[in-house]
Amino acid sequence: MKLRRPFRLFRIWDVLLILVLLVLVGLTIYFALAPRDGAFAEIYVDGKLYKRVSLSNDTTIQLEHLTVEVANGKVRVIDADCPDKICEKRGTIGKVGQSVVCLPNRVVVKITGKSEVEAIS
Amino acid sequence: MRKLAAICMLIVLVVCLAACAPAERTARGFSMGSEYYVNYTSSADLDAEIADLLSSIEESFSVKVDGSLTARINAASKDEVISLTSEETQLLSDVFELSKMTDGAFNPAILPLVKLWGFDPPYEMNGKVPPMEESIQVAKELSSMSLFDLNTSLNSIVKSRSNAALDLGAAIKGYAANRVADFLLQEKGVSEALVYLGGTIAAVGRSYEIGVTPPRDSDESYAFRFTLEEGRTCATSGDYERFYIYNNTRYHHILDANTGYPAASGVISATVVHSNGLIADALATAVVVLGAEKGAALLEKCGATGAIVTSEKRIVTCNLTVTVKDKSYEIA
Repeated sequence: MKLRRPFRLFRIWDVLLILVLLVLVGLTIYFALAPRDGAFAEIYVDGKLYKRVSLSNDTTIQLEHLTVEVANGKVRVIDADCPDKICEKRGTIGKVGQSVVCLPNRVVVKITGKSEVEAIS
Repeated sequence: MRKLAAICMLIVLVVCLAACAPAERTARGFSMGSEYYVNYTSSADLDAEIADLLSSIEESFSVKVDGSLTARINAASKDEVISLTSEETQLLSDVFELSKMTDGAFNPAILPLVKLWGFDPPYEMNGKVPPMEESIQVAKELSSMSLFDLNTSLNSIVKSRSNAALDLGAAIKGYAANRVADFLLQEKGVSEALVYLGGTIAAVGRSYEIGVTPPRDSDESYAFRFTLEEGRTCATSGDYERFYIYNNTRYHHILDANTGYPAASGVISATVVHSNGLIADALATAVVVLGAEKGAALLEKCGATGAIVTSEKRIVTCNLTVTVKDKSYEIA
């Protein structure tokens, strides 16, 4: 008479599989919920993300028609070649949700980070 | 060996599912003289279709595009019959109705005054000087809805003065935001989306927290916030968007066709919420012209909600719950 293998709920491969899935789930949750501290300036040219820089590092980003300056946690547009210079006149921004728009050059500089609002009207 | 194969297949399946699962996406660009962005959750990339829809609306209705509805009307001479498509007739009929409901506070015929004051693009505000009183009176006569005769049964419009002109700029963004929202919801089955077009915002599928731009210099990115319910569109108008200061007086772009001058109603910002974006957009402009009291009554009459900010930085709420962020503003 053949001995039946004893019934076991988990076998080694099952345990491995469950572990792999748990790790995947854990990583997903981590990346979805991890707090992204600190604000960033996102520069969009023609609707495409051109650069994303942290507000904690002072820097200047030279674009074709204007320059974006990050200093002391704030951002402004300088040296714009557009006729109306509305982007320069907007001055410095530093709060999440604020943005500078240069319509003639199709450039948007946006402060992103944690905020209580999802859009500003 | 079979187990190994099974595990491999499972991993492939998980990766595939992750790739097909609806992703959060953002379409960005410029349309109708404004920045737009659309945050939407979908498994398909709809960025190009959103851009196409917005540019087709711009081509159909922008005063600056040759052959558009308003360009055709504005180029026509006195008594010339301009034929319209049924979509154009419908839009114009809505716009004319809104103008009537607001007693002309929302006035799409105001282009002659807007041009005289120099608030038409490219918005160069440096060294601007207010126009002469006589020219204001002349432009005021021309900026009247009574010069247009819309025939909805014949799908046509006629104007009684050659220089009379229409500009749908004060309402078209609300109309366009709604068109994008409908497209995403009804044609593409998108479960949730936020459509932003130059400050006009439509909420699709869920509610969104919306901040309102501080109408005066502020350390905050928004003066107060509110919840924009699903299926609603909000629009904000204010005297801070385009203006110049001359002899210590602020001359802003929201003109009152009854006086020929920038609105001086004591309202510096008006946010209006309605299920119809065209109505929200038109009413926001109208409230700045009418003032807080008449404006609030108008919102009530039109089934809209909103928040009106006066020059004393008081927020008059109309069936809308707001949370103040910039403490220099207070709820009236």
